[in-house]
Amino acid sequence: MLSVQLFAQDDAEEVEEKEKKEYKFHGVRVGANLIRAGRTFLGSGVETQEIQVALGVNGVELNVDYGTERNEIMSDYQYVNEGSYLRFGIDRNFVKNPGSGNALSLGLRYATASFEDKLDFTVSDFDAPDTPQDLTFANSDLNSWWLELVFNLRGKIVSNLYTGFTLRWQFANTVNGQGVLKTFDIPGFGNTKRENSTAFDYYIMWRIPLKE
Amino acid sequence: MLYVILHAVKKTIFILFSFIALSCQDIDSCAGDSNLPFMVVRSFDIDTGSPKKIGNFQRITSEGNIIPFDSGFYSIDSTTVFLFLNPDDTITTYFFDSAESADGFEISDFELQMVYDPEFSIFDPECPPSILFTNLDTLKSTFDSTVISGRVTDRQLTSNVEVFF
Repeated sequence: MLSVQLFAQDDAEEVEEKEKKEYKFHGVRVGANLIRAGRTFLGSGVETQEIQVALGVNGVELNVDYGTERNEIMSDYQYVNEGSYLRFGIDRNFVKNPGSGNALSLGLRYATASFEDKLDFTVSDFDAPDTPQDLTFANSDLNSWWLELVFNLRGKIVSNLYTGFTLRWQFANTVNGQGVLKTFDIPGFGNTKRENSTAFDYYIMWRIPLKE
Repeated sequence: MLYVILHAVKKTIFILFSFIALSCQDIDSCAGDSNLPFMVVRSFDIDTGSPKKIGNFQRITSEGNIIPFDSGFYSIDSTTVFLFLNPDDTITTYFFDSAESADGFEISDFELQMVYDPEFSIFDPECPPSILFTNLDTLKSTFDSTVISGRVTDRQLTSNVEVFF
C-alpha cells in the first residue's frame, strides 16, 4: 500500500515537472538586420530595413520578422517597387543550453509580402514611329507568399547583446495581382525570375531575459 | 561552447561573403531575353505549300506605320517578315499591298488583324523593358489560309503566323 502511494507520488511529480518544462521561457530577442541596413546606407538603389522579434521556449523559438523595401531602377526607364513583408515561424535550437541565448537552429517560415510597382518608359509611337510615346504600367495591389527553410547560428557578444546570421532557402513563391506589368522584385524575396531563392541575413540582437 | 559558436559565426560569415561576392557576377546579358516585341510571319504558296517571297508585296503598312523593305525586318527575297505589334493596344492590323492605285498605295490585297495580350517586364536592370505578346490570335485575315503556329512572341519559336496565298 505504501509502495503504491510512493509510485503515485513519483508519477505526480513527473507530470508536474513535465508541465513546468513545457513553459520554460528563455527570453525575448529584438534585433535588426544589418545587411538590409547596410544596403540602405550604401545607397544601392534599395531602401530596406528589417526588425526581428523572437521568443525562446524550451529550445524552440517563435520568430516574427517585419521589413520594408523600396527598389528603384533609374535607367532609360524608371521602375519602382515598394512594399513590406512579414515572416513568422519556428526554429528548433540544438544547443545544449538554449537558455544561454546562443543558437544553432533549423526552422521553417511562412512569409507574405504586400507591395506595388510601376514602370515608366518611352517607345516609338506605333502609328508615327518618329514620335516618342510615353507608356506607364502599374500594379497597385500586389501580394505574394512563400515558404522558407532557415539555418541560424547565433552567439553572445557581451551581456545580452547577440550577433548571428540566418541562411534562407526560399521556395513555393506565388504572386497575385499582376496586370500587363510582370513584377521584377518581391520585397523580402527578391527577383521573380527565380522560383526558388537563397538569402543571407546578418543580425544584431538584444535579449530581454524572462524568469524561467 | 560560446567560443565555438562565435568562431563558427566568423568563419561562416567569411565564406558566405565570398560566395555572395561571386554570385553578384551573375549579370544577365540583354541578348538572353527571349521575349520579342514583334511577331514572325512566314508566307507560303497556297498551291504548292512551299515558301513564297514576301517581295510580291509593294509594301506592308499598319495604321500609318509603314514597314520599309530592307529595313532589317524583311527584304524582297525573304519569305519571313517581322511585324511589330502595338504595345499600347491589344489589336494591330496590317495591310499587304501589291498594287498601286492612281492616288498611291491604297489597294490592299490582304489584311491581317491580330489580337493579343501585351506583357511588360524587367529582364535585367541594365536592359530596356522587355515586351512580350501572348495569346496571339487572328481576328481577321483575308489571306487564302492563315495558321497560328505560335501564340507567344518568344525567340525560341520560329514563327507565329503562317499565311498562304
